[in-house]
Amino acid sequence: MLHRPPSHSAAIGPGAVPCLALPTPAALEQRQQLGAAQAPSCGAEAFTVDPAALAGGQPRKHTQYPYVTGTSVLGITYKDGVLLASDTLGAYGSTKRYKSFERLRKVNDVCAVGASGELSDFQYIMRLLEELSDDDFCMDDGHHLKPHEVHSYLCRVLYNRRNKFDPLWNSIVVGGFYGGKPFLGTVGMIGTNYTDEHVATGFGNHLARPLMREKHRPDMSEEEATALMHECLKVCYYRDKNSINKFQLAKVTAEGVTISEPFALETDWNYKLFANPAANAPGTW
Amino acid sequence: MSGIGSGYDLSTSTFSPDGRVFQTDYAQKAVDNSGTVIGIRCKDGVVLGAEKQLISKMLESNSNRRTFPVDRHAGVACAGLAADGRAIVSRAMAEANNYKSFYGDPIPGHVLAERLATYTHLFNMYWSVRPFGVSTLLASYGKEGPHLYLVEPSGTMHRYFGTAVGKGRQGAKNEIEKLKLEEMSCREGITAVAKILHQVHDEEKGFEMELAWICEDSGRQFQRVPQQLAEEAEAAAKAARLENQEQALGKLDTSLAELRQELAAAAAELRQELAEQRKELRQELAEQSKELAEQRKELCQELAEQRKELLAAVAASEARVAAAQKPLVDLVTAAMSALADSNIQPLPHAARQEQEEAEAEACSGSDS
Amino acid sequence: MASALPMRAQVPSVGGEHRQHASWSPYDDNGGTVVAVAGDDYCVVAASTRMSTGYSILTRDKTKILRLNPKCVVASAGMQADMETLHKMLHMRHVTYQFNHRKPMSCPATAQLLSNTLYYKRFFPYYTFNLCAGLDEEGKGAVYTYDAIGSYERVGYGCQGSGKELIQPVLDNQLKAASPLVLPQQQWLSSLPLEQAVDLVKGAFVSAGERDIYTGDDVEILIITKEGVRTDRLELKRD
Repeated sequence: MLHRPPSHSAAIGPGAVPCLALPTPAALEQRQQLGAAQAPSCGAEAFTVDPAALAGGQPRKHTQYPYVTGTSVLGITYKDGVLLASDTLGAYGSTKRYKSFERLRKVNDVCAVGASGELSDFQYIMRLLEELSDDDFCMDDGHHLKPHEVHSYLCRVLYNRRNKFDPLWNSIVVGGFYGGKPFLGTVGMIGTNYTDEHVATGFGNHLARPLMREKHRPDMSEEEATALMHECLKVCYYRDKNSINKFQLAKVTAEGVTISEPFALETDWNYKLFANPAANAPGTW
Repeated sequence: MSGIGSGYDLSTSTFSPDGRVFQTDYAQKAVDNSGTVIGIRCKDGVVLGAEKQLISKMLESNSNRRTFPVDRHAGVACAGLAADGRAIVSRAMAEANNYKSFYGDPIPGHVLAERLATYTHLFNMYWSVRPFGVSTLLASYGKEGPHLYLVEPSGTMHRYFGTAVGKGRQGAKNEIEKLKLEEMSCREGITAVAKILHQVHDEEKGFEMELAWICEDSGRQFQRVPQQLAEEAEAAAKAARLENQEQALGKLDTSLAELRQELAAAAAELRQELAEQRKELRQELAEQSKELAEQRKELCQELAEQRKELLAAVAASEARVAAAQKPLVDLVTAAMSALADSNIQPLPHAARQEQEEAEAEACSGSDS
Repeated sequence: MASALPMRAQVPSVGGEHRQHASWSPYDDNGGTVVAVAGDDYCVVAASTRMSTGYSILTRDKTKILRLNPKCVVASAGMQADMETLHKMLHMRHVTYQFNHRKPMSCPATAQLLSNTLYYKRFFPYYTFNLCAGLDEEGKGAVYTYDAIGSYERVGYGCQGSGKELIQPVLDNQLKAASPLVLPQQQWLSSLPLEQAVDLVKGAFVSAGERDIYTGDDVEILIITKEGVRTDRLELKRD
């Protein structure tokens, strides 16, 4: 089969991927394809703007900070699967800019991912994953990416972008169920990654994980796991300013991936301490 | 390099004087020799089917693919050189992927077909490359509905309700034309395709059938027809073929009997004719022998007469000779007796000569 | 995660000047301690399994030891992503080495390779603190200790990572290493019997776990002898 330049080759790092066998004599010579992701297959130059060309003599600058961000993603394993949860907010700084952004996505029948951080980067990452699973579909040999392979792939992508000082500003949770076992892993924007029975990104690591550590068991039933997840989401919502009460829950089991419709949780703001948080903390305001 | 046309088949970059590009034609021939591949567009999707010749008894089933997905919503079936087909498939995948990453939407069928056609066409333009020996049936199901395209080695592309390429294309096309595609669902379509493939397959060797479809039943994803359905379709096709064969056999039987009858009639006629001819010939022969006998009789008569005449002539001349001899004999007898009387010695020679002359004078004198 | 990244002051940040918005650093310290003790015919390698960032524990069970072959392992503390990359790289090099040479890479060879690999990234170093440990060609215990950019030396015992300051003096004291300044060079291999060496390592980790927040949860212990690799596990406090 002819090699074609997959758009993730640039993301993974340096490496020679043969370009399309273009039939014109000029193109028969191996040509460096700039921005292979956008390069039209007709062989024309890709429609890309080199940031260096716009910098006016300044050195090229990569992403310095995220623009539209999502907050925590939570994940727990249970008896026969994995639950992922997040809200649906895309925040522009502290503005609640996009309120129905689905941050949990299906990769294939055994794997789903959820992302916090820069949402445009997440969309790019989803495109990479889609390409991979489309390739699996086209190969039509029954093979597909396993959850740990998806996790490992994302680790390499994020780590290599970090190496280029052009990070993908995301923390990603990978949840899957394969070979009768749940898989749950996460990776940060510089490539640090781990797998565990429960994971959380961002504030979730501070707010939800203590709860998980206290209440999580790997042999939980789905109901118990869902209840725990709701509790964690609620805590995150109470304390995380950049979150909204509109959540999604993704479930990966032997039956496949289901991502719930957005839902809201019962909240109660009538605690006295919510009304006057400084009451019991003299000296604060 | 003699004669019109020769020398013009070495490159796609040269036309022949009568306006053909031979390499392209030859590529088409490569396709025409391959196993039949057919595609039909039903009311709810597209069905592709391929007849795969068994190149070896040891071949694993379902290896040697002929149908390939190129995206979730599109797939192709290739007829011709399988390796060239892979290149086309690869390109189609790249195009589909590229379109999706650029426009965020799956590539529409007509765009994909056009891009494949353009790609295929490029290989008809340069001396350094050869055309693909592949015709590609492209099935897609996008926003515009289910579509079926055919891309040929020359780079032409058309949209079809149904079409066929490869060895049995002519028969298959005839059969496809009989189908009511607007009313047919893909479920029925796979059986129809299987039937046609079995029908146009005319070698003794077996073949493997590959069916793929894209329709509501497949979730608008291009995939191989589920094994169970494919097997059912194949069974139906085989049954239909058997029935067809039996019917054909029956027809053959009746025509054979008719032929026999005809043959017998013809033989009888011939026999009669022969007898007549024989009779005529005999008559003729008899007449001729009669005539011959008469001629013989005549000839015999003539011969006898001529003999009689000749005998008469002989007798006459004998009589004449005898008459002429008589005076001489008398003379001799007289002379003898005279001689005897005179006791004369025979004369010497000169005297005898004189004597004989005188005697001859006397004879002739008496004669005249 | 983004907000959790720049928590630790000692992590150098790119750019330097103070910003209102989030900025990022390509480095993070995920903590962890690794220890190795070489004996006459054994080598003990131990590593804590906690992975942290800032004041948060990310996970309690993340191995820091790369087992290349029955006679050589590499243990690393520091930044997990760099560690994983380094380990994958070494693993890959070890596999190709075996294709080429039809034998596993020896401990000294691995040590040199690790040094080269680290030095190759001299100007964007792996933020990892490594020990290469195992048995040398004579079957003697071998420990190599490194800095982040590939300087290394062979020692009788070594300690790297967040608990280094707590454990190293204990080892120095207990294993009574001769000063490297003494000439002629002294025998630096531990004369301790294996079991005592294991106990020493365990004790050292328990002590470090008391004071170092980045050392805790579990300690994974590999005991390398000519018979092979035996594993042991020590539970520390999970606080």
